[in-house]
Formats: sequence, structure tokens, C-alpha cells
Amino acid sequence: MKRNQSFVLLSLSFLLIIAPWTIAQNFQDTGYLTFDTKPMGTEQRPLILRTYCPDPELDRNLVLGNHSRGTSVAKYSARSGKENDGVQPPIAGIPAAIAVNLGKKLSYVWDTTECRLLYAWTDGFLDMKNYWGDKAGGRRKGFGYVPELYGFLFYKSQGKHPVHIDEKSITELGAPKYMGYDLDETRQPVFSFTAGKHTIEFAPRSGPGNQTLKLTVSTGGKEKISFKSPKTQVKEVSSEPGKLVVVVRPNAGDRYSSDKKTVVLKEATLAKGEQLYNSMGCVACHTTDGGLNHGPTFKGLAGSHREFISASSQKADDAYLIESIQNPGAKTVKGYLVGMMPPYQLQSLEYDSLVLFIKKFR
Amino acid sequence: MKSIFHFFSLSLFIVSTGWSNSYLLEDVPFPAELPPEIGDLAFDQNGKLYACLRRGDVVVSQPGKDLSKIEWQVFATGLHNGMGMEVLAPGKIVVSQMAELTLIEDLDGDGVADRYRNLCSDFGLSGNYHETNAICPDGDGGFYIALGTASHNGPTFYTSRGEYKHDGRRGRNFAAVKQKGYVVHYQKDGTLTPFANGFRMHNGIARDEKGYLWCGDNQGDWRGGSPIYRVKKDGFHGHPSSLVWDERYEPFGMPLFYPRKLLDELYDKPAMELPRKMMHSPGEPMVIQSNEFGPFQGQMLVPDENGRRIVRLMPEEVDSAWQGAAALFYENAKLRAGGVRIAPSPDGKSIYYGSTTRGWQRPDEGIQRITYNEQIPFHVQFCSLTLDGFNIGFTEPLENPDKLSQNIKIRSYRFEYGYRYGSGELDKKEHKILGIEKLDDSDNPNWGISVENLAPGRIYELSFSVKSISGSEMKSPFVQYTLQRLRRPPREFLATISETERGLEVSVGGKPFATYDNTSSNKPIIWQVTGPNGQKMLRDWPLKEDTPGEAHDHIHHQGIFIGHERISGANFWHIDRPNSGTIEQRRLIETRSGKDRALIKTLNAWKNKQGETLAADTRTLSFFGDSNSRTIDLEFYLHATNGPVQIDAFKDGVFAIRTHTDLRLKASPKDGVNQVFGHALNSAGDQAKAVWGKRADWVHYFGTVDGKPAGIAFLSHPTNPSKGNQKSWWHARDYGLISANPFAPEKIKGDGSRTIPKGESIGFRYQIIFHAFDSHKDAKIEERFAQYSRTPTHPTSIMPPHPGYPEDYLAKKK
Repeated sequence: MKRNQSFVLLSLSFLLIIAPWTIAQNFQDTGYLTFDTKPMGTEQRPLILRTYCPDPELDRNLVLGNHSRGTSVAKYSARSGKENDGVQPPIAGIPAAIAVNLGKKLSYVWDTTECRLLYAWTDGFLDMKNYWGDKAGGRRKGFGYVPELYGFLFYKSQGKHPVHIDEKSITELGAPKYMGYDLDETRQPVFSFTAGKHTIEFAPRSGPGNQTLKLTVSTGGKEKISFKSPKTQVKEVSSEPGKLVVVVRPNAGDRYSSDKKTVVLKEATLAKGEQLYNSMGCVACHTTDGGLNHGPTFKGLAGSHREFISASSQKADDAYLIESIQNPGAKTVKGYLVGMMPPYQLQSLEYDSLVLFIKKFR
Repeated sequence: MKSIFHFFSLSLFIVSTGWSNSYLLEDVPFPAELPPEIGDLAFDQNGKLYACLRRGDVVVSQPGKDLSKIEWQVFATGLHNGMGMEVLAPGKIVVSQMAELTLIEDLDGDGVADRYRNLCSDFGLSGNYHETNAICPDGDGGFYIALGTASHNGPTFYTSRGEYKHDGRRGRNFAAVKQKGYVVHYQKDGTLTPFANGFRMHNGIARDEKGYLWCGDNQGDWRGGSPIYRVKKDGFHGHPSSLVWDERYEPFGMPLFYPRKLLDELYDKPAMELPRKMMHSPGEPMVIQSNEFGPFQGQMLVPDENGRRIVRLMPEEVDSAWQGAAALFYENAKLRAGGVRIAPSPDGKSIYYGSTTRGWQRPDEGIQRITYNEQIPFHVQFCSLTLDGFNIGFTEPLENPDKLSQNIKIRSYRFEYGYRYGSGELDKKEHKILGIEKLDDSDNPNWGISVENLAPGRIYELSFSVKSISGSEMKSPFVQYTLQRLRRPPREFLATISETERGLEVSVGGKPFATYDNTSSNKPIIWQVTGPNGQKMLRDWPLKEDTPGEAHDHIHHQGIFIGHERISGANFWHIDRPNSGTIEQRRLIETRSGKDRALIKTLNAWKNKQGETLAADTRTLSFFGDSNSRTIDLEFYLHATNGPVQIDAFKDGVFAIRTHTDLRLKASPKDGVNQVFGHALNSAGDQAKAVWGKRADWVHYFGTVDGKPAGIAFLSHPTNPSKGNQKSWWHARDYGLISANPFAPEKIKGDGSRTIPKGESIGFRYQIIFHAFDSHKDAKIEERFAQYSRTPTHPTSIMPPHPGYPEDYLAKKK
């Protein structure tokens, strides 16, 4: 631990003691992940985040060749035990990667399956709301659990594994095996993995200027190491047996944003209701086919007579359905747990769309 | 590098509702911006509490008596939804995160980890959110890892880690990548081996002092209630998705669509199955090792992931499996929802309760401490099964012990086992109490309750309206006993199984009885069998060549065997025909040994000459004996796993035994059989050679073997299926073949052919008695048959009907 870092951190913890809780804090202040769904680190306090990672259209054969291939499957009802004509396709994502952020200066994703730097970007990191949800609701915001990339993507891995040992790409040495990482004195990771008979250490760092990478590859042996990537400018900083340092210049230039434009609905539709049902997490607890789950099924719900834990009862009319989405704690149907469902604040026409969707199963 | 964060105590409260007369509930404060989504909790040897948080941090504190002064420090970061953690030493932990098992170490002793080592990532990761992992130590430097399945509420990726199987992707909760739905064993040498499968979402796993593993499973598809399992090595725990990763099931197609009876036969039933009024989804069980946490040492606690309650488990071993009673231990509106982990405090007086709800309900998460205040909670202290009911004890003496019999009510019910999500209480019954007996003369005696109609495969609820002598009421005054197996009366002659080169050798009363031989023939057989007088009871040839005086006819008559001349085109009776098939053991499902009877249960594949699988069978063989007899009970199911099973009508079949030459009814000098000593009689009164082709409940061959009295009675259970509810048709020959054939041609008065539709099963039960009498009368076969007729099958679950096969109903739609 370096003295200057210690000083900085002590100052931070001093700040924490006096800071009122009402000011939302994030990782940069605290050193731990908070409710902030757009966490960022700093160069002094790198943020290492293991999560499902976005796939910015990497080449699945060349770059993700050690991954298996997902398939579309028939949709299945646990109520009937049957498959139907509906199809559930896979989505894009990297399952076992590590995302690292040093603030606006650099973000990168290094993958433990390919043992390879997959992409790097600046001016942002990962928007975790699809995975973590918000503080109050606690639910994800999409069907998948893949965070969204935001910022300026300047490097995208291409072709075979760029690290070559004795002129052979790691791709040609068989599936690499991830060993782990150590944090160096800057608290940044040095990844290690084996490929063939070689043990390789890899340290991606921010390079000179903006949007460059300085990569250090070492084996601890006497191998000749080189870095070759198609359509990528690579400058050798130093090369010796068993060790290579290169600077990689941008080979991509894509701006990503996680902001969603709020589309103001003009009318309530069944399609919108269905989309909300699938994307807001309703599907996790409410079946549409009468199957049991944490919440009541939608089958036969609209218009039915509901009996509540409070011993009162009423007909499930539109107002009741909307109330149950807006303020689910107001009435709890017998046989279900109180407080399971978070309240949803939506546009008025979104409630109406959901009501249309629920009524479909009347 | 340290980053201690302090904060003011926000919400310390002490609840004093009924439950907390005995237990004090306190919140363990967290900084307001630190999401207290607990993945796991554990103490190190210095009393530091490690909390693994689902967003990726591991934070550490040293909780004192006054929790308001607690300080948390970040130990590790960058973990993906870690739901399992073990503290190996201060500053050295292992976490099971989504993608791997990771060893995390603080090398420079500054309190913050700097090394993250991948111990194992040989299991897959599909990209689905539901594939979380939990761990417990194996006691030898390794770990057991519980690998949860994926959910259809989320997708998988185009690019998954590890091998992917399309069939594994199908269904509600699924196992698209390797070993989801398994418990796997990571050994300290780095190897990863399968340990058990059939789980859905076993969120938490624990190892008890005997080394047994325990886990719950979340409510859902293939789960009637909330099951608690004693994880059985090599066992199948009911959820079929993971079976796609077990090559022993490969011949039988898509596990989700197995015949229902086959799944039920394979299913190692849970030790407890908790109803929704007690539990919605169990978290990780915790063994109460301390006697400072109330009078429950040795029992287990399990939190509810979807409730605000903790259930107490009272497991016991009955007939080689674990089962037992459960009671609500703690229920409190102030308990946070979503209990997943419980860590006992180092002093044993408290537990730390960790909860998380993010992802499935309104956030209400964090750590709470529950401390025993030494006021004994009034409830059932234990409840164990007896031969005819339950023994129970209370934590405090009763106010009106004399009125106990009026103040207990007993009812029972069953859950459905099937693809649906959850089950209501089915097949409900009220049970009379036949008597209550005080079992000792102490101030707080235990009680023996005898109950009418105790049956296996049911859940018994005992509810109480009693007060303690100090006037305490019982909170949630009931226990539920999941009765999977009855307690069995002790028997003088113990039956044991030992493994030999040829298979499994069964001894009764310390003497060899029978060998289940899986290697000598083209199908599993039983050979040899030794009778109670010590003689061999079966012909040796062709399994042993040099036994003098044996006829060498019918080379396919090998010991006790099961087969038929034509099933879906293949011949499983003769061994030397162009279309002769084989019956291959795929899995030894279960053995029970060392008690009143030994039991062998296997799964077998029926294959034709080309190696195509035509059907599966599951067979349960029970072996037992007394001073003058040895008995084998067979319960056999043929399952149409791979399409309809067409059983053609032939006289040569099905359940057969070739007796010792001495028990033949007729000599055959040309075969070297000069003198025989057998007589035959069936239940219809036919004698000698006339028993062939007749219908009867049993056929009895008797006389002498090696000069000593001996006999073999073959009994067909009256519930066996037949045309027109007739008795079994017997293919019993004077040269010593006795065979029950439910598919003999109609022209010789048999039952004719039968087709088992795809997805269905058919079952038969037989008993073979080897005795030490030379007269029919002394062997008391009628009496034994009457007794056998009354014995029930092993319990069959209530299951929803087979949904049909997509390749059939989807094609029809088009």
C-alpha cells in the first residue's frame, strides 16, 4: 500500500463520517458497490465488476470460439407440461467475463473463457439497471440480465487470439485455462492463464494519450511473444524473451448509450401490455395459464371475485387491477404473502395496456 | 488498503411479540447506500463476520454486543452473484460465484484481498440469471457445490460457457449447460465429480456432523411443496432437467417426457416436504451445534426465501433414508423477507440471519441477529416415528397432561409430484388416535402416540391445543412429519448385501442366500440361490459347467431371469437367436442392507441386437428370511420410454426360474438325470405336469434337494394386470422351469399380446419362496400367499398425467 493512497482513503473515510446519508454515494466515494446502477471507479480506485457482460457484436467464431452455441427452444408451459409453437431465441452476452473501470479514462472487458481482452472503451462503463433493477423495485428492467454498455468503444478484439507465443496464436494452443488474477500496487488486475504448456500473465492498462491501451504480456520463460491483430495499429514498447509490452491504438469507434427515450403512449394496446408483462418482471410471479407461482395467475382473474387476507372482498374490475399494479400492498389475495410485489409507477396508458393484457386471460 | 466506513445506527429495534419471549431480534446495521443483498454469511476464527453480497463485495465486521457500534470494511470486490462462501482462515475465503469457485486471499495482511484464484470453472454458465451456486466444505479440503438450474423467466446466451445441450435447454427450469441441477464435488486435488442430481434450485447446502449433506429446493415445477433433501450420493432428487448430463440415462430420450412412473421410481424422495403455510422456498439449512440456542441441539434451522420465518427440522433415519418432522421455529413481521443463510455466532448463543430479495420481490434485505434469552420456547422438542405412530416430547411440561389425547389432532395429506408448479394438499385424511402412552416418569415425560392407518408416502400433521405448566401457549402449534418410509419391525435374521465380482451378494442371518448377477448373462439374473437348509436351489448350468447330474437343455434358462420371446421385435428370452436382445443395467438406483431385509433397485435398458433401446425397466428386489425360508420379492415395471412397447404373445416368458435338478418332476436319463425328487401343486389344485398352462395364484415345487427337504413357491400378486382379471398364466415345466407369463398366446389360454403406449408403464409383482419342507402342507403356502396379497406396493406418488410428446402433438396441429 502506498502512502499517498492511504492518505486519500483516510480523507474519504473522514468525509463519510460527516456526510449526511441523504446524499447518494457511489463506488468512487465508498469503495463498495452501492444502489447506484452506473457505478464508476477511478484510476486510484479501479472498479472490478464481475457480471454478465454485453457483447458488442464480437465475432462468435474467431473471438468467442471457445464458447458453445446457444439454440432457440420451444416455449414450455409448466401448467400443461407441453411445449408450444412459440420460440425463445438466445440473446447476446458474455457469461464469464470481468469488467474493469478506471473512471472515464478506461473501461475494458477481459474474458475468463477466451482468456482475452474483448473490448475497451472510455467515457462510461456499464449501466447495471437491467441486472440490478432500482433501489425501490429491486427488479431487473429487461428479460435478460445483461447490463448496457455506454461510452465510446475504441477497441474490439478481432480475429484469432492476438497474443502469439513462438509465432503461434493462443487460439492454436487449445482452449486456454483461466487461473485468476492478482491486484498490483495500483489495485489493477494482472490476469493469469495457461495455454498449451505456457503460463501467461496479462496486464491491460491505459496507454499514452486518450483511447489507447498499454498491454503487458509475460510468461516468466524465454518464449518469443508477439501481438498481432488484424486492422489494428500495434506499437511495440519493449520486447524481450518471455515479455512483451505494446501500445494498441483504436480499431473501433462506436458510441453507445444506455439512455432510453421515454416513448409517450398514444393508446393502450394489448401488445404493449404483453411487452410490459415480459419486461417488468410480472412474468416471474404471475402465470397466464392458471399455474401456481408467487402471485395469482392472470387466468380467470379479470372480473373474478377476489377474497383478501383482510377478510374483505371485491370484484376484480379495471380499477382494482390498476390499484394492484400501482399499490400492490393495498389488498392481498388470500393464500399469498403480503408485501411480495413492488409498486410500479407507470404512464396511465401503460396501466391500461396491462389491464388489456390481463383481460385477455379472462 | 483499508476503507472502514462508519455510520449511525438507523433502525435498531427490539421486538417483543410472542416469539421473542425466548429470542431477541436485532437488526445488524448497514450503511444506507450499501445494498445488503446477502449471498452468504460466515465467521472466521477471530469472531469476524464476513458477508458476501450479491453485487460483488465481501464486507467484514466484528459484531459486538452493541450492534450500533458496528463497523464494516470491504474485504473483496468483483464477484458475480456469490451465493456460497466459506472462511478458511482470517483473510482467506472461498466464494462460489456464477462462473467459478474462487479462492480469495489477502496476501499482505492489510485486511483487503489481493489475490483471486480460480479453483474450478469446469461447470458451465449459460447466461441465465438463475444459475447461482452454493457450497459447503467436504471436510477434507474440498467443497460440495450446489449448481442451480436456469429459469425460463430469463434467456440464455448465443455464446455459453461450457458444453451446451439443446434438450437441456427445454422445460421450465432447465440445465442447458453442464451439471446444472447437480451437487458436484470439488476435491482439493482440483478434480470435479458429480455427486447427485435432480435438483431445481437448491439455494444453500450444509454438511452435518456425520458428514451428511443437506439442502432445500425452491418451490416450483416438479416440486409439490418445499422439499428438504438429505443429499443422497448418486441419487436423483426429482427434477428431471439435470438428467441430460447423466450418460446413464442417455438411452431413454428426453427426461422431461419420461413415463411418469419411471420418474417416480427413480426419485429419491425428500426428507421433508414443507407446505406453503410453513415455507415458500427454503434457503440454506443450518445445523444447531450449540446447546446455548434453546433445547434444539442437533436439529436444523432453515430460513424462507419468500417469507419472514424460520423452520426447525427434526430429521431421523428410518429404513435407510432420512425423514422427519418440521415445526415453525420463528415467525415475525419484523424478520426481513427473503431469508437465505443463517450463520451461528461463535459463542453459540445467537444466529445471524441473512436475507435477500432482489430479483423476486420488494427489497427488504439485510442481516439480523436472533439471540436466545434462556426462556425456553414452548413447543414440540422432538417428534419421531414408531412402528404405529409417533413419540413426541415437549420443551416444557404440559399444564394438563391427562387431557393430551383430546388435545392432539392428526391429519395427513400428499403432494403431487409432477411438472406443475407446486401442489395443493391432496388425498386428505383424518386419523384417529388409538392411544397415548407416557414413556417415562419424569416431570416432563415423552409421549407415545399410536395412530390409525399410518402409511408411507404421506405427510402427517400433528396439531396441539395445549399449554405449558407455566401457562405458555404454543406458537404455530403443529408439527408436520413427512413419512416416506415406515419404521420396520426388527427381525432376527438380518439381510445384508456385499459387492462381489459378479454383482451383489445377499446374505440372510449371516449365511449366503442369493447373488444378483449382473455380469454372467446377457441380462441381469439371480444366481445362485442357497436355501435355508444350505443347498443350492437353482440349476448351475450353463453358468457353471461341471456340476454333475444336470441336464444341459435350454441354455437361456439361467438362474432367475426376466425376459420374453418378442418385445418390439427383439427376443429377450433366448440368448442365441438372430434377434436376441440384451438387458443392460444402467444404474443401481438403491441398495438397503443390514436390516430386516436387503433391497436392490436397478434401472435397465432393453436393447435389440442393433443396440437400439426399446424400453426401460425398474425392478426392486427385496430379500429376507427366517429359520426355514428365504424369500425374494420382486416389484417390476416396464416403461415405454422410447416409443410404444409391443409385447407379442409367446409362451416363452417372462418371470422365470430354473430349479435345481432334484426338484424336477421327471427324470431324463438321456440327459444324465436319472432320479428326481420334485412334486408340483398350484393354487387351483393341479398337480405335477398338469400345472403347465394353468391359471393360478401360485405354483409350488417341493421335495428334496441333495437329500434334504426343500421347495420353491412362486407367487403372483393378485393385483397383477391380466386380461379379464384372471390369475397368472404359468409356463411351468416338469424339467424344472417355473415361469409366470402374462403374455402367453390366447390359443393356449394365455393373456395374449399387449402394447404399452409410449410414455406409459406396466407393473408386476411376484414372490419366490425357498423353503426347507418336503411337504406342501408344512410349507404353508396358502398362508404365505394370503399374507403376500395384503402387502402394499412401495408408495406411488400422485402425478399429473403424461402431457404427451411435442413431436406428436405439434405435428398433429400442423
